[in-house]
Amino acid sequence: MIKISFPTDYNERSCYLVAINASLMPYVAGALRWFEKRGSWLTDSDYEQGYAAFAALEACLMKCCLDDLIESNDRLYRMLDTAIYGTAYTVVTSDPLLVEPLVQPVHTLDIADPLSIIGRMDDMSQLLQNALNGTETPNYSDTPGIRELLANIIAAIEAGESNDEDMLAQLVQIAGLLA
Amino acid sequence: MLDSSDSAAGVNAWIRTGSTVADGESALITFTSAIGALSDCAIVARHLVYRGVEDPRPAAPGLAPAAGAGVFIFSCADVDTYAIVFIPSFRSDLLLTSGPGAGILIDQESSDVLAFTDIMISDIFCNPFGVQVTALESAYYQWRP
Repeated sequence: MIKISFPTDYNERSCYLVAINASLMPYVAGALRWFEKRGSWLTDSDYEQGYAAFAALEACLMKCCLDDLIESNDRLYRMLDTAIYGTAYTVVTSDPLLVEPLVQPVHTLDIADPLSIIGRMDDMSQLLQNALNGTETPNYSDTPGIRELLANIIAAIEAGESNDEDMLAQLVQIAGLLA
Repeated sequence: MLDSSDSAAGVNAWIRTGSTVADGESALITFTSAIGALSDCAIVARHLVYRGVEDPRPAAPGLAPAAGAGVFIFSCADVDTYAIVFIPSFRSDLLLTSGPGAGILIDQESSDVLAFTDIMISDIFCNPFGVQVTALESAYYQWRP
């Protein structure tokens, strides 16, 4: 049997993800046992490094199922989808894991929950539009807006028709819109 | 033992039943020294092996084949060091029955498995290079004929 040297570039190389059917795993992993033996390696140093590397490989083989890896991506997607759009997900069964609604290839900009990130941003946008411009939005309908109130005050002052009580009332209204 | 061309050889000797560890180690040192005086080989390693033999030999309690092993991979005290321990004829009822690793992954919560891993971690065990075992990294079924 030819004895092997431990690769000198081991620590510089990256790893490949290899898909192994779970049924074959006992045989594939078991076949690595030869590399745990001193007789496979050229020197004691090769043996020590080789033993550690193959032990790490054997530990790694059963640590990350591809299904788990894909599911972790889906979990991340669902977390973002809930946070950004407010989509509510439900675990239908846990083993095997089935979550509804299923992850779709594309996503619309529809807001599923007003408490989501874009739901809150949309609410803030409506508030600003209504408060500043008096625009009626689904959530806000106060009129007039700050701009119109200020314009009314300026116009009244310019026309010399300023009435302190009217102006005070409109300033109170503005303060209310900014509160 | 290694000769001048690095060819390996060895000497076996046996000690009396009931000898203590200290007696065995002491005898090994004396014996090694005596062998060194008789040989042109360099003595590069010594092994003191203790054997216990069940008498009478008990029957196997289950039908699992010897090649079906429960393999335990432990990390050790130094960075990137490991110890592999495998148990032949591993009991199939100690494997997980659900999830993607069903029938392969060992149930690490089983009391029998916990008893074994606790001993490996808390006792004097180390890897082949003398580094203390510290934690279980992975445990699963392998075919090791």
